[in-house]
Parts: sequence; C-alpha cells; structure tokens
Amino acid sequence: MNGLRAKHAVNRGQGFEFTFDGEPVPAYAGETIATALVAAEKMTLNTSEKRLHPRGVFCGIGLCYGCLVTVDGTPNVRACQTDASPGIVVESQQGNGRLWKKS
Amino acid sequence: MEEKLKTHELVIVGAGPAGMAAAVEAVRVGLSPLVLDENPQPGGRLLAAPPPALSPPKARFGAPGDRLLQEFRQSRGQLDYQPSSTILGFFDDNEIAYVQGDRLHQGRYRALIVAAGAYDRPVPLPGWTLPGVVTAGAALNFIKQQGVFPGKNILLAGSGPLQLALAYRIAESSGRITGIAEASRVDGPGLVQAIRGNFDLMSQGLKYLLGIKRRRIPIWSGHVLTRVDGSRKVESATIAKVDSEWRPVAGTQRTIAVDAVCLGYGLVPSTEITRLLECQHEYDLRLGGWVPVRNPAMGTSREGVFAAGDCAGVSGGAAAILEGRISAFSAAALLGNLTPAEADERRGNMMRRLRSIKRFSAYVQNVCSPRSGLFALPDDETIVCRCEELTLKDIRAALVNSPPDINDFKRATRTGMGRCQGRMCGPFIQEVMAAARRISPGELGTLHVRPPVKPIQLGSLIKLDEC
Repeated sequence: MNGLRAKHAVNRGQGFEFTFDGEPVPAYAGETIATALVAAEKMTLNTSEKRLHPRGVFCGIGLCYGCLVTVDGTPNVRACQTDASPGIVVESQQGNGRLWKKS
Repeated sequence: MEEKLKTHELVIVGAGPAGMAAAVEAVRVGLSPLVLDENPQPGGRLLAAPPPALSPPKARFGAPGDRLLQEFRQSRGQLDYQPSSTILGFFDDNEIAYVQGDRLHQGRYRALIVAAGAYDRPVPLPGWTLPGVVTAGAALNFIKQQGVFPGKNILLAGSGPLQLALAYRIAESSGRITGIAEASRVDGPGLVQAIRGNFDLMSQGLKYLLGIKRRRIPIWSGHVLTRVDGSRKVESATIAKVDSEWRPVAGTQRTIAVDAVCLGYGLVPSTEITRLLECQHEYDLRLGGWVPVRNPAMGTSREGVFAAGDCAGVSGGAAAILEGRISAFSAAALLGNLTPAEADERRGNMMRRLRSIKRFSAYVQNVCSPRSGLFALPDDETIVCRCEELTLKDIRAALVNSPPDINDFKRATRTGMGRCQGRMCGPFIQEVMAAARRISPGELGTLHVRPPVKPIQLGSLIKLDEC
C-alpha cells in the first residue's frame, strides 16, 4: 500500500506500521509521522481549540504548529518534525490535547 | 557559573547554503566555528538530502550545491557542528543558549553570523486552513526528502521560481498537477537585462519551464487562488484572473476539483534572531518583508553580528552562498584572523559576482513579489491568525481603536502570541494594518521577539550543559 508515495523519488527500506486513531498506517524508515499520514491520505490531524475546525500539515517545517498530534500519550507533538517509528500510537487531538493522558 | 561559560570565536546559526559557505571559509582562515542548525542534516531547505534511510537514487543539486556540501563535509574536522539544535535565545554579554535533544547549552560568542534562512509566505484566503492546503515549501520538502505527494490532484498557486521548481519535481516523479496559477506576468525587456551574466540562473528556470510544458500542465498566468472549499478537507479551489495589483477581476472565477493546494507566494526572511538582537531592520516587501540593514560586508547595525542569505532578504541559493562566504571573511577581519586588506581581497570578486546575481534576483522580486490585491483576499469569516483563530472581522474591529503600533495591536488582539509566535499571522497583519492606516508597513515597527525564539520543551531548561 503505497498511497501518495512517488515510486522512484527515494529508495525505501523495509516498511512498518504504526497506528493513527486506532487504524494501522504503513510507513518507511526515514519518514516523518506527517508524511506517512499524508501518504495514507489522513489529512486531518487535529481540530482547532476554539472553533473546532479541522487542521493538518501546513508549513511542513515545524513553524506553524498545524500538525500537532498526540504520540504515545504525549500531546502537542509536531508530526512534521517527528520520525515515524514502528508501533507508536498516534492520535488526533483537539486544541491543546490532554496533558495527563499518560498513565 | 558566569566565568565558566566557554567563549567561541565565531558562532554560525544555520547550516543551509549561507551557513555552510560561511563555515567553510571560516575554517580556511583558521577559525573553528560552532555551527548550530535545526535540521538533522546540513543543507537547509535547498540542499538537504533525504534522511539516510530514504537515500535518493542520485545526488542532484547541481554543481555549486554539491560542491558546497562536499566542502562542508571536508571541513567537519575543524567545525563544532551541532545539528538538531534549536536556538533558545541571545542574552547580555554575547551569551547564546540553545536546546539540543532534551538539554540546554550555553556559551558566548565574539562574532556571530546569522544564516537562518526564510520560510513560505502565509497567504490568508477563504478556506486556507483546510487540511490539504500546504505551503509550496512543505510540498517541496515532502517530495524531495520523503518522496510523498501532498495529494492526488494538486493545484499550485503562487508566484515565482519556487513553484516552477515544485511543479517540476512533482511532475518528474509522476505526480498529478491539475494546474499552476501564476499571479505574476513576465516582463520581457526587464528579463533581457536581468539575464546578462546570469545564464546559469536562467537556464535552471528554463529547464523547469520546459519540463512543465512538455507534460502539458496548464499554467494560468496572471491568476491567483481566491478560495478553497471542502467540508473536512480540500475538495475544490477557485482561481481568478487578476489586474496589475493582483486584484481578482469580476466574472473570471473558475472552480477546479482538486484535493491539494500548494501556496507558493515567495518567502519571508526569518528575522527572529536579528530582531531579538535588536539589529536595525527595514521593511521591503520585494525582499520578503522585514530585513536587517547591512553593509556590503554583511555586517548588521550591531558590532560583531553578521547576516547572510535569505534571512537578510530573499535572493536565492546562489546569492546565499556568496553572502555566507563574504560574511566569514568579515568576521575573520573582526577577529584578527585576516587583515582588513586580506579580507577585502578575498571579498572583492565575490562582491562583484553577488552584484550580478542581485540584478537577476531584483528582476524576479520586482515581477513576483506580492501586490496589494493578495492581502485583500480574506472575507470577514476567514481565519487570519491560525493559532488564536482570529478572523479578518476580529482584526478589523480591533483596528478601529488600536494605537498605531503593531505590538500594542498584538496585546489587544493576541495575534502573534500563539504557538507560531507571529510567523504565520505577522506578515499579513503588517500589510493589512498599514493599508488600513494608509501608512507604509515599515512605520508600524516589528513584532517584538523574546526567548524562546521557538517553543521548546520545559524539561530541557533544567538539564544544563556548557556548549
């Protein structure tokens, strides 16, 4: 399942999976959480705090904070600045997320 | 504690084209600079290779870029190169602090070269916060670094060479571009003047253009994106023909079904560090907005602080490399590693070449930099401050009674106080506030910058290391 990946732009190694809101998402070593999600056409990563608008990747270089997700219980992780790794649990979040979700 | 901080002769912030070039020349004159860069690999936006696990089939930056990367690699033994480092701030007595991993590092510098680069201009318009709308820089990053397309049917909207480069990269990887809305219109006679002595720069653009034409991708010249629609993500985009001020012409709208939109209206210099250092700045929209005032040797108004590359005015990679080299010689002269005469001699040819390149970039800036119509695209309900979710209506209401200082405006509305620290809203607010007051944007002053220059994790502040 290659989704929005270009066939020959880069050499990919072994694939793996992580989950996003409970669903498996394929990824390759070297990809960020953001590109793996975009490749799987999962564009909405969070909803805005006040108006509950859907938001996703915008600047892609860690400046806009549009791609915030919760990773293994830690909220407000920039998906575009964080490498995907096997088995991580990524969740969409609302507003600032829940700080004490980790138990 | 104070006494223990290590003093570095030279600190370079940024390892893109300008920062790498500065580092390479600094090593040649016997300095061992500390080079701090946010990214895990050198190269900046322009020259960064994909991560090792996604190695590209071949190196492909073209001769000057590949040569610089090689020079930088060869200098590594003499450099204190610290990747994945985020600047926390600058403090009294030339103190610098940065965060790497989960640790805070502190030190001092005698000379500082800021080569912080630039980022895509955020352009508020109805629907621009929908998932599927990304900056051209994000899309270029995705395809170059990770081989991922931003969507299945992509509209590019913007102006200038960056979006041609993006279209070319997506198309040559067999991505589907529905079309390119290019706001500017080519000025033929100006172009002839600009390309004298700059055939290499021109040929790059021509290569992109021919590649796009060969694949029959429509280029709608003199068009801007006016709105994006969709319920939860991008479903369609509307473009319209514009007049010379980039104001949409009534009755020329057309709506196109797409699932991704790339916004590429040029770049905004990253001036957070030079503003924090209180270097004098001036506003020039053709250079991207606020830029530090510099002398030809790349010195800012502050002794010992130099600025090189796009962070001091967007002029592209070739200019950035030369500015980086020039700034290193200037720093070396200040530090006593070169005599003033030696520095002049080394800078001489480079300054001549730089002037020629700047003639070309000035042409591109004149044709492609935003016109007033671009700042009139949002409607009342359009979010213009993404973090605080303020609409244009909110901003207009606050403008009625606000004092004419952008920082008072920030305090009154909270625009510029969110996570982006004013990077996304600032360039637009500057223009719309100036237009409402009928003054030039420069008269409003700059948004204040305070540490942390970028948001950092609280935990890193308690794990302290000397750098």
